[in-house]
Formats: sequence, structure tokens, C-alpha cells
Amino acid sequence: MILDELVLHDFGVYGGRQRIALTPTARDKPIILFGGLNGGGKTTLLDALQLCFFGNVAQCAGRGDLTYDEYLRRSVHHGAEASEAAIEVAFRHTVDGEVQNWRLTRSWSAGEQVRERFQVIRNDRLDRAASEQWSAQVEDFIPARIAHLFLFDGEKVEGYADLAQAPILIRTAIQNLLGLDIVERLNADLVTIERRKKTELKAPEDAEALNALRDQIRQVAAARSGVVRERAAALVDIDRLRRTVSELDQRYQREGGSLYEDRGRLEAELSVSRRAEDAVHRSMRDLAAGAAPLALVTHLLDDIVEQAKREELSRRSAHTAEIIADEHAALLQLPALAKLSAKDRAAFLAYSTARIDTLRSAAGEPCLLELDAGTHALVTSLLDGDLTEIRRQGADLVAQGQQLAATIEHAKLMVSAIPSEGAIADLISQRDIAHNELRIAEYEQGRRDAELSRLDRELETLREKETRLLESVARAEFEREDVSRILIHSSRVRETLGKFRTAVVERHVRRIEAFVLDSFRQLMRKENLITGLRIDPSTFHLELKGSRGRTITAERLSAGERQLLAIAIIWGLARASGRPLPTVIDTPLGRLDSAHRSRLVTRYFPHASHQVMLLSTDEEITRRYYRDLKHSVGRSYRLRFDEDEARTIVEEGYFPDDTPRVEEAA
Amino acid sequence: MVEHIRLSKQAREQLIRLKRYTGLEQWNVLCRWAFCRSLAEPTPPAPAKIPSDSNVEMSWRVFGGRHSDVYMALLKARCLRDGISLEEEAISQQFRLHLHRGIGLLANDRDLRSIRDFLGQLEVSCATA
Repeated sequence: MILDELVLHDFGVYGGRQRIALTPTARDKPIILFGGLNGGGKTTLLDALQLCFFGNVAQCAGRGDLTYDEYLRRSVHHGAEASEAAIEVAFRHTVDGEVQNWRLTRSWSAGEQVRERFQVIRNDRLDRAASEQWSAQVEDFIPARIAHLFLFDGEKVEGYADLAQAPILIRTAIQNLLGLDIVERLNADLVTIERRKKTELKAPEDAEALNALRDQIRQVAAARSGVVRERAAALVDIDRLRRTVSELDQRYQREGGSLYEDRGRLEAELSVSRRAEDAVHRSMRDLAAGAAPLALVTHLLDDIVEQAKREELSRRSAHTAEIIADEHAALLQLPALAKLSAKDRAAFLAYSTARIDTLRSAAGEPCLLELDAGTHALVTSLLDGDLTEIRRQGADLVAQGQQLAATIEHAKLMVSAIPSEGAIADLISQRDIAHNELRIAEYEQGRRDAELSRLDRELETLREKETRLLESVARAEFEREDVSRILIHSSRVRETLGKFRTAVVERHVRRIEAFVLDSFRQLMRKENLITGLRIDPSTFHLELKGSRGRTITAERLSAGERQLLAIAIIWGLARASGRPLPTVIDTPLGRLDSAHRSRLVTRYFPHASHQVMLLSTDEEITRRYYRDLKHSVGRSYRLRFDEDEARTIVEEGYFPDDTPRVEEAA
Repeated sequence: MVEHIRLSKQAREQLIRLKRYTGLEQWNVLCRWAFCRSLAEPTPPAPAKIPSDSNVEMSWRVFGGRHSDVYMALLKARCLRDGISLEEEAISQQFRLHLHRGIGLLANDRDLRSIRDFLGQLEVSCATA
């Protein structure tokens, strides 16, 4: 990566727009030298680079405890016309052999609110994705956490040589440089996944619900089989009761139980029939007391009527004969008859006598009965209908009597069959008790049937629920197997990662040891002082070996030696990272004594990187050191603070008399 | 012609039995049935000496009631049929014979054990007539 240009627009002390070309002029001139007085804007340049690259995660020297917005607001140049500032960085980066040109522009306005804009132009085109995702993208160029290996303040470097500080730096460097941070993150992610999966494992709610449901099903099934048992037992009881009832019913029937119940009616029937029979008998007796016996002798009654007729005729003939005899006697006195011949008179007399004789003989019939008119009428009336009527009545009554007699006979039979109360009372109460027991048993059984069907329905519902739960439990089981597989594999992966990490760290620690020792030796040129350097791969503690294998602690080194060691560590780490990044060093010579200064100037700066920006005061890189450095300097700038314009102006040339012409001449 | 009727002891016993069978309380009613029963028989009663040795006694009018004259006419008609003179003595004798024969017939008829059987005779007489 090569920085090509830095543009500052009203940033800090840099008023207006200032463009600084940074492209190294030649391979053997990697140094771009900036000179300025204290407060001239050297540190501001370093901050500008960091701010442009890293935004709110930049570790800017001027930020302190300020919020990012406040820092941006304060970073706007005091004399700016609009309250706006911008930083532009252009760089080249080679990816897979292809050179890409990048230009980052970070600008912000500080009105009531601070509004920051950031855009990335890649190969002259706006890269919207990179603009939005820059904080992730920048890691591909300069990982923020190791930025201080490449962009650092020389005055603060000494701290790294502190044996307490170094391990942190080395650990951070190793983790970031070697991509171990990814391993660490992967490890942490796996732990998170494992924890999450474990909590998933811990919540088998469905299984618990299933157990509860199964308990419930067991309870209901137990209740059901209890009812079934009861029901079966009751069935036997009911059968027994039914038999008892039917036996008792039969016995009751046999022993005239129903007759007994009917006894009132039967007895009433009998007495009614008897009363009716009595009435019929009375009527019969009444009939019998009348003219009824006369019906036995109708032939004699006929005789009487005949006889009476004859006697009447006889009486009438006697009467008529007397009258006729008188009439005949009177007739015979008739004068006319005297005139008749004796013969005619004799004939007439004979006729008359014969007539009278006939009558007299008719009247001679004896009058034996001499019925009076009343009796005659009585007999006639008897024959003419009274007797027929009596016969009819008699027959009716007889029929009635027969019917009643039959009824009575039957009723008497029934009544006689009625058992006595004493004989049947016991049976009746037994039968009543049996009937009641059966009724109760049947009612209970009906209740059990209802209970059974209710339990069946409940069971069915519960089993359906169980089926559903089983399915979901099976799913959960499946997932749990999945999860445990994940857990097993995850822990294996972590184990492997741990081994990988240990192995990688060990390997790289050895490399870093070599690079740091080499860097330190280059800087020191005191081979006898340090013979070995060891970094503990687990604690990253630094250990120095002196001549004859003595362990040398940092405290035994001089302040200058410690600073050189610190720079050696940074240099070594930067070399170990294998990343071709520019190095920017602020206050490069800091508090070093002259002997060590020249070592840095001659042995470090020209070799620190392919592009080295030194931000120095003229107290550090003096003319003497400048001379030593000059053949490696590609560009040099002077940061001049203009009192009138109250801003720093970047001018070419390290010293006011060191014109570009001189440089070009070189 | 027949002013008084006095029954024999045997007839009285028989009547008492008939009373029990039929429930007919009056002597005269039973006697009418007995008399008519005997008249209905085709054969004349065998002449016999019937003692009047019971205390059961009634007048003709009590015997015949409103049909007293009819019963007398019946007696005479039967005598005529049987060729018996209508002498007061003979008629009186015939009546005693018929009455006692009838009582005996009724009392000894095993089919006559109730008032219903009594009235049943009417149908029999009708059927034979």
C-alpha cells in the first residue's frame, strides 16, 4: 500500500485546502520528511490520516475524552468560512497483482449538529458498498487494532519496551496480524452458539407436557378400567337381581299375588254378582208366586174354554127351546092354520116338535163347570198372552240366573284362589325389595355407562393431544440430536482451534523473536550485549539473553536502549506481519541521545518500510541527521505557521533554504 | 166345594225341603206349583188314603188367591178328562191326591234344587205342549 496524497480542508490548524503529495519518488527514497515547530501541525497530520481511515475508532492524539462529534466539531479550522472540514486520502493497493486506486473523502459540517459524510472512490468510481461498509473494509488495508505499529508517536514508543506493556502489544499484534482474532472470534462465536444451544437443550417443555399428559392419560385410563371393573361386577349383580326378581315375580304369580292385589275388586265383583243373583231370585220368586204354575197346565185351560163353550151353548139352547115351544103353541092358535088340511097341520106340528126336540136335546148337555164370566175372562186372558209373557219372563230370568251363577262360580273360584295376606305379605315385601334393588342397580349401571363414555371421550381427546405432542417432541428430539451433534462438533472445533492457535502462535512467536532480535541487532550493533531473545508463547513475556546466556531485564537497559528495543519490537512485528504498509512516525527521535539517534536515522528510517513519513521538529532531524538521511528522502515538507493568517501552510522543503531545487538536484 | 186343605206330615216335610231349595216362603205358592205339576202329568193319580196329620192348613181362597176359580175349573176339567164324577166328595179327593202327588214329584225331582230350576219347568212344559 502506498499513500499518494493527503488533502486537508479546514482541518485543525490547516486552514483552507492543502494538498500534500506523498508518493515516494523512487524505490530507494522511501522517506517523506515533514518538519515543523511544536504546535505546527505534525501530530494533526497523523491524526488526519487516522481519522480519515478509521473514523470514530481512530486513536487520534487530539481527541482525548471528547465525543466523536465534539472532536469533529473542534477539528474544524477556526477561520473556516463555512463550518465544514474534510480530509482526503488517496492510496494505491495491490490486490492479487492488480493495482487499485482508492480515494477516501471524510467531510463533516458542524452546524447545530455534526453531519459526517464519507465516500470511497475506487478506480475513479464511487464505491457505494465500500462507502457504507468501510469500517469492515478498512481491516483489509490497515487493521485498526494494529494501526499503531505503523502510525505511531516515537515519544510514546518507549513504553512498549516495558516488560509489562510489551506482552499486550505482542499479543494484540500476533492476534491481529496472524488472523488469530478471527480464530478468537470463531471460538467466542462457538461458545455463544454452544451456550444458546445448551439453553435450547434445557427447555424440553413439550417433553414435560408430554409426561404430564401421559400421567393424566394413565389416571383417566385407571379411572376408566376402575369403572369397567365396577361395571362388570355390577353386571353380575344385575343378572342375579334380574333372576331373583323374575323368580319372585313367577312365585308371586303362582301364589296369586296379582289376585291378592285384585282381591278387593274380585270380592266386590262376587258380592255384586251375588246381589244381582239375589235380585233375580226375588224376581223369580215373585214370578213363581203369580200365575206361573198355570203355564204348566195350558192343555187343561184349553179344556176349560172348550167345556165352557159347550155349556154356554146348552144354556142358550134350553132357553131358545122354551121360547120356540111357546111361540109354536101360539102359532097353532092362528085361525089360518085351522083352514089347513089335517095333513099339512100334522106335518107342521111334526116339524115344530122336531125343532124343539133338537133344541131340547142340545140343552140337555150337563153344565159341569158353570164358569162365571170373570173366571172365563181370566182364563181367556191367560191363554191369550199372559202365560206367554210369563214364560218369556221366566226364560229371561233363568238365562240371567244362569249367567250370574256362572259369573259367581268364576268369581268364587278366583276369590278362593286369593292367597291370605299372611301367606303372601312376606313374598310381596321380598319382591318389592328385589324390584327396588334392581332399579337402583340399573340406575347405577346407567350412571356408570355415562361415566364410561365420558371417560372414553376424554381419553380420545387426551390421546389426540398426546399424538400431537409426540410429533412435536419427536421433532424436538431430532433438533436436540442436531444440537448435541453441533455441541460435540463445536467443542471439537474449538479444541482443534486451540491446537491450531497454539501451534500458529508458537510458530509465529519464533518468527517474531527472530525479526525482533534481528531488528534490535541492526539498531544496536552491539552484538555482545544481546545474544538471544525469547517470547513466551502463552504469556508473550519478553526475555533478553545477554552474553554467556545471562538473562537481561528491561530495567538493566538504559532509557535509550529501551526505546530502541521498543522500536525493534514494533519494527519486528511490522516485518513479521508481512503487510507492505507505509510507516508514519511522529516525533521519531524523541528523547533519544545522539548515539541512538544516528542509529535510527541510518539503520531504521530508510528500512522501516517502502514508504516512511517522518514528522519531525528541526530539533530532532537536525541538519546533521538530515544530511545522513538525505539520500533516502523522496519528498520533504515544511509546516509553516503563518501568524497573520492564523494557519499552517504546507510548503515544500524541510528547511526554509532547502528548496525543491536542491532536492531535484539531488 | 173344597173349603179347607190340611196337608200330610210327609208333604209338610217335603214342602219344607222345597222351601229351602227355592226360597219360596209361602206354603200356598209351593202348593199351587205342586198341584199344577201333578195336573200336567198325563196319568191320573193313584187313589190313596192321605192323612191330614200335619198342622199345615189353608183355605181354598188362600190356596188359589186371585186364580181360585181358575184352579177349581182346572180340577174339574182334569176330573172330566179322567172320567171322574164331579161329586163334591170325589173332587175333594182328587184335589188331595193331585196336591200330594205334585209335592212328592217336586220334592223328589233331583233337577229341582233352586228357584231357577222351578222356572225352568215352564220351558219344559212349553216344549212338550
